[in-house]
Amino acid sequence: MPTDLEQRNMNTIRRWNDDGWNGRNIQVAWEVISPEMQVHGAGGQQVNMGPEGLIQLITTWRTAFPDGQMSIDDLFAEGDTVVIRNTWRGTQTGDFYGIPASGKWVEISSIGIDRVVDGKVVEGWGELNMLGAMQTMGAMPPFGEAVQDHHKGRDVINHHGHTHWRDPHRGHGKRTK
Amino acid sequence: MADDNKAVFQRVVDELWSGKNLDAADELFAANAPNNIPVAPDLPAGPDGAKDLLSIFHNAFPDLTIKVDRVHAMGDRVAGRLFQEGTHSGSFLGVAGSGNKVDFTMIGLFRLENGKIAESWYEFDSLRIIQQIGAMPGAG
Repeated sequence: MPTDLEQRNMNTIRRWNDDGWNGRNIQVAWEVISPEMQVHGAGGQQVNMGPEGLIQLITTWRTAFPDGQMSIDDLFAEGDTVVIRNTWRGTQTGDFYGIPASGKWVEISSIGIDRVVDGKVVEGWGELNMLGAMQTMGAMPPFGEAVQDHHKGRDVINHHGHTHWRDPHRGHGKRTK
Repeated sequence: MADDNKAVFQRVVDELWSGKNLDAADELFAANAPNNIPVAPDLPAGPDGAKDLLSIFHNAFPDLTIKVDRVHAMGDRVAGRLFQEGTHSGSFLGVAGSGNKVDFTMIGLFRLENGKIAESWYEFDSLRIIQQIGAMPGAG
């Protein structure tokens, strides 16, 4: 069972997810994000320190995916650390880091680890499927077409021991513009 | 229980990721445990899928070294962040071995049941790897 502190820390992260990421009240950043908050990883996104940086980040996402929603798929805490597994789902109707609006529906999975002190997030480490998102939005080719075998069955490692990749959003089809 | 689950996470790192003793997966993973990693959406469940997942990385980066940055657990869940580095010697995501050095971070999250991994999720900086192996569109 989580301690009271762990429960409070999970509540902080849930509030950040629901009000921040899901756009109900992005200004919640001033309550739940420390001025010293630093983001590590995040698929190469450069995030400025503190509430302004996080508001900028979410604004980028919510401008690109105005209907975007971040689901919480897993949430647990150990002491001052909260682990969260998410999926972002939305339609890319705006520019996303230079990728023009594609009209594509994207689903982006992620896992985050956040440290919460006195009710504010002070540091976060995140990984997300940015590569898959870029492929869905048409900004990256699907990899591995050349080595894909089109037989059913084991389709991760082909008969030559090569790895190859298949975009779940595109299936086996040829690259489409 | 949280400490036991951290020990399972450490075994996955030491025996599977670092030690390349893929048979250890038979002991660590429940038979029907889904293996979730975005670059390989069709992995079989259980130990076989876990072995396939490891083989993807071991074939692509045979000299892969892994350091554990942090591990956190509560109840039946454990998650940890890893630093990995190696040389891109074999095909990765369809890109033939380039000889380039790669370094990337990864977070793994496991749900445990009766001491075994009942489901696993991995996220990692695959975009960074694509950049490091020179496979970004428009890049040299």
